[in-house]
Amino acid sequence: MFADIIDLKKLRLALIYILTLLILLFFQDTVFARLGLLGVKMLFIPAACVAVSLFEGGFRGGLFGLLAGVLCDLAFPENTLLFTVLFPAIGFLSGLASEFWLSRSFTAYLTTAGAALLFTALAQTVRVVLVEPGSAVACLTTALVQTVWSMPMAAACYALMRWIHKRWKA
Amino acid sequence: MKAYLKKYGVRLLVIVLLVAGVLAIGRNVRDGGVGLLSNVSGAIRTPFQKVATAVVSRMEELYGYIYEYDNLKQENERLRAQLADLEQQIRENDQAAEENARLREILNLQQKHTDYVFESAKVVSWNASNWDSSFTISKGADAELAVGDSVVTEYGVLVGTITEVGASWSTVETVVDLDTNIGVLVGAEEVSGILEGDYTLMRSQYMRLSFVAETGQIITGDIVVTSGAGGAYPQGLIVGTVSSVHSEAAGQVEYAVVEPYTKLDDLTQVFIIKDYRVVE
Repeated sequence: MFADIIDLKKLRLALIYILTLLILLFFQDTVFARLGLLGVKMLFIPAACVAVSLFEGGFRGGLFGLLAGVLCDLAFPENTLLFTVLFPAIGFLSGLASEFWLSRSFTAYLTTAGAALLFTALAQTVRVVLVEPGSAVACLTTALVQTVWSMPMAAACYALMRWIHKRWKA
Repeated sequence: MKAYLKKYGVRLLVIVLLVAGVLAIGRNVRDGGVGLLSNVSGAIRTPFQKVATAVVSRMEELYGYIYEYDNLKQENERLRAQLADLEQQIRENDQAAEENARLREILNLQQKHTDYVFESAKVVSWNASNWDSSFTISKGADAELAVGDSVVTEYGVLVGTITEVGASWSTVETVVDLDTNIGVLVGAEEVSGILEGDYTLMRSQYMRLSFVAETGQIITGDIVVTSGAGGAYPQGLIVGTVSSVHSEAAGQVEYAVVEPYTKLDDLTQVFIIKDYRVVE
């Protein structure tokens, strides 16, 4: 009876993506939190949201972004709901773009992921700039370095999500 | 004669040699030395003995190499494991010794401030964000910690404030964080001011001292301590030292840059002041 109700392939794919997200978060908060470029740490989870939406579509990308956003907001104490709102939007919009005009090539992904990373970093600066307008230049510098430093892992996310999509396509 | 020698010559020779040998041996035994026969037999025997000894030694070495190798390998592994255990014990002992030293220091601090109630905690991890300065400690509501509790080192140096409390963990915002706002007194003249976070300075692990009293003069090297005003922080906790002073054209201090008294990145254990007497 349950075999008729539940599609095990879809469930398995969902669980694999959840597990992948948890592993990426673990590495971001432990290993990569200790590796800085000019003292700036990387934040590559938005790129993972773009990668998932590119291969699985906007709706699934949005759901992945929602879970990623909630978990990232829990990990970053200065945020309240910033990532919970931002990451699903990134996932959904990336999926929408891939549905109508964006290709699945690495170049297209890297451009989209780079834009998502930059947008996330700039969104993080808003709180600081509102409190301290004089630090706008420093905030912008940090945002740019954070984006650039996150690109290598963003590239790795593309390879990982493409492999998952090909291997366990539902 | 000729015919006699021809018939019995060999027998005669053997008899003569035997008699000569017996005489020689007898003489040598009497004199205690090594005789001709012994010399000759030794000279013939010795090279063969040397060869035999060399061959036997080589075979013994080979035997030892083959059959003792396993024993040596096992002993080597056993000694390596023992060495690793001993190194681990040394590391644990070093950590225990350091913790012991910190606890002794906090005991001294407790004796000076009998109204303080301390709770110790280990620093678990630092926040991965680029936009604030905070870390997680290993105690929370289970140790009766509360939001707003001051966090110090064993020397009474203020390092931060608790901003989040979980069941068994808490988040500590450091003194260099953007949201810092501490009433302080500076230097021997106890010039009042407000220590606040500044993003640009936070990236370099410094703080900004603003709203310095107009009549006050501060110089580089002045110690900055908490004033205790408002009861948010205990009075007299060292926060940092003045690193540089920026003055206006009229000579009035505009702001100063303050360096934390302790290196925040090196923190492994901290102490939370759960309760203290508020001095008005």
